[in-house]
Amino acid sequence: MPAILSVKNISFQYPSYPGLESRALFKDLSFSLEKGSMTLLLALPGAGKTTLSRILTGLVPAYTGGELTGEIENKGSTGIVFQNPDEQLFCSTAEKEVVFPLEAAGLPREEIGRRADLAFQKTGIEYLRFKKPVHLSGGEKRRLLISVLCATDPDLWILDETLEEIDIRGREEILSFLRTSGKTILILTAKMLDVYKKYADSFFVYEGGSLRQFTDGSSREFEDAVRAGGFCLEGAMPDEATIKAMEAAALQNPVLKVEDMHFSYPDSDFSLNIENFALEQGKTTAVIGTNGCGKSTLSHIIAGLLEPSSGKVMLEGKEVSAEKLNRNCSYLFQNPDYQLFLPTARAELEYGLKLQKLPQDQIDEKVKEAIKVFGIEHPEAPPVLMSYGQRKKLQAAIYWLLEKKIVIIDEADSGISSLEYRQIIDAFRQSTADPAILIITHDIQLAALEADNIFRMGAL
Amino acid sequence: MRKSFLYQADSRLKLILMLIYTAAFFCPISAIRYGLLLAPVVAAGFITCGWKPFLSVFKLILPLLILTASVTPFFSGIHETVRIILRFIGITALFFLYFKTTDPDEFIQTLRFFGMPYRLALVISISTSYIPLLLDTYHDAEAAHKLRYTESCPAVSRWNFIARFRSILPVLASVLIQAIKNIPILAMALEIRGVGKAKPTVFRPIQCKTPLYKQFLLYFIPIVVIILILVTYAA
Repeated sequence: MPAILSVKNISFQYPSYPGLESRALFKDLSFSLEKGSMTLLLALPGAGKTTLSRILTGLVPAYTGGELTGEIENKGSTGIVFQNPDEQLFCSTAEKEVVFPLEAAGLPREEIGRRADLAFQKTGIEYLRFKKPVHLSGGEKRRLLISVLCATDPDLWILDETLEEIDIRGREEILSFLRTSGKTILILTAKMLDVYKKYADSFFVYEGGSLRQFTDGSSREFEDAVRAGGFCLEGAMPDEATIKAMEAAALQNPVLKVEDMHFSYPDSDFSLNIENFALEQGKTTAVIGTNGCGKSTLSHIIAGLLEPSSGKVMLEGKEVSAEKLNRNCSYLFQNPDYQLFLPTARAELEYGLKLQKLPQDQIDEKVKEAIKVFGIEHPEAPPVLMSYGQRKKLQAAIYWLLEKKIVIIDEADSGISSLEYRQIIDAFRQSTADPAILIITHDIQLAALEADNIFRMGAL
Repeated sequence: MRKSFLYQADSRLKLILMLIYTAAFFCPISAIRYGLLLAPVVAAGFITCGWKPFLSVFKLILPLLILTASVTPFFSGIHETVRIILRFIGITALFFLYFKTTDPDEFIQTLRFFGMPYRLALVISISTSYIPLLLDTYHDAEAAHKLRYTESCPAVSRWNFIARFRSILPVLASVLIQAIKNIPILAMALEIRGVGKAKPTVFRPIQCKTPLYKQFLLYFIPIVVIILILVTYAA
């Protein structure tokens, strides 16, 4: 098969900023993609996957600045799904997101309608067609962006950490559809999911500044490289019996209890009913379930960010106000940027401690420890210029310093490696506050490895 | 909530009516006449959104209204102050109702109907539809900031307005950072979607459930006549 994309000896470096000295993201990188192939590129967070994907689509350095050298020969059109789907969605309904590029291309109405119908059908999200993108879950947003690609039909599809937050069945459906689409697919990820082996033809592992190619995803060499690179979790995938046993695990002394809780959004047909849910101090609970089943809604209620329509949310046996829940819960959002506002990472870390009126020497000591535990590389850098993974770690470090009773980690594993994600959970587990930890994840293996019990919402 | 008649009304007629109405609020007429102009707008707001969400819109201009009410009487008198306040309320309500009941896509088509180039119409539409997105970002940032307080942080009294105002500043800073950061990203997203590469088409053109001439006769002409009567007999 002829190559649709050839990359020869490209090197790239962002401009430097105060407190954030730029380094070469990659040097003399070369690879090619065969027409109609599905290729997986594994690289750790911060290695430059997002930058590479945007270079291949011509967005970097045009919009960001920086120095790019080398040759890129792209023989077709290119479409991309960004790592953070919120950055790409700006229309008022899902249908308009799909239709917008077709209108911009000047296609006739009948053709637009035909392509939109087909795109929604193929990606299995017809039911989201007239919903507002802002109301969709992270996984649903990603499926919507794949629908946009499906409708616009470019020759090369680039998916930047797109499948991690899609539920297991959804991943299988989408990969199966991508495989049969006849398009050239490049999947950039930091996590080697088993399902990729079934569909991808070619695998690249980014090690020490260069790419190593494998053609067999089941080969010993590839598995060794994946393990050595920290792209997968150790241990076997849990079976249904293990998950059921973890669901049945009883909690002795719950710090938080939710009873007969009902919640519905105004102007939406979504509703959530939880009969019994509990979190125990020092224990980790994993909440698993399909995209859009209400995992994030439940955790927002626990953190006092949403008020249930009926039912009880009790902290240490007492019904408490939303403010009390706010003050006792840490919440690692899917998007780490909502709380960052200060000029340096260090100032962000200090802020919560200053609100507690702690003396400066104690603050300095605690912040120093947090920087070490969470591996914050540039404490004097503006958070807004840090990589996505570093911002996620910064968010975790901010909450770690607050030592709250409950820690909610909401699908926070995109942009960081499995190893780093587990390190974050361990850091909270070992903190002096000994919190109850709630992990929301689609990774059953991670849930089984890290959690003491599992709470399942809907099918997997 | 049942969709009010404003949602069914043609966006082009609504736009013209909104502009005529806005112009009327600048006419040299008495405060009573301003009040009479405002009454149907307020009624439409209550019917469209319900009284609580509609009134909450005016929270945003409350500081401006308070400032006007406390300073203007000393320079221009009570009557002029009332007129200015009613003008602010009227124009805010008109724009709110228009954008609340008009789909952004329809708004682009409306602007293009009146001859505005596609790119400019798109920029205006994205800017206006960005406001609700910013509001969502504000709510998310507000939630994230609430969680930075712990039990050991001193409680802030509901009536301590200075402390409450200070607690809003970090949220606003986060929203501002997000908004600025999103500018090049939005440009990238638009480029990726092929904006500006061809002459655009429209998938769902503006559709009137009630024919345009009927809408024209049913509400456009009567409202314009009422405005003209209120404005013309100003003396």
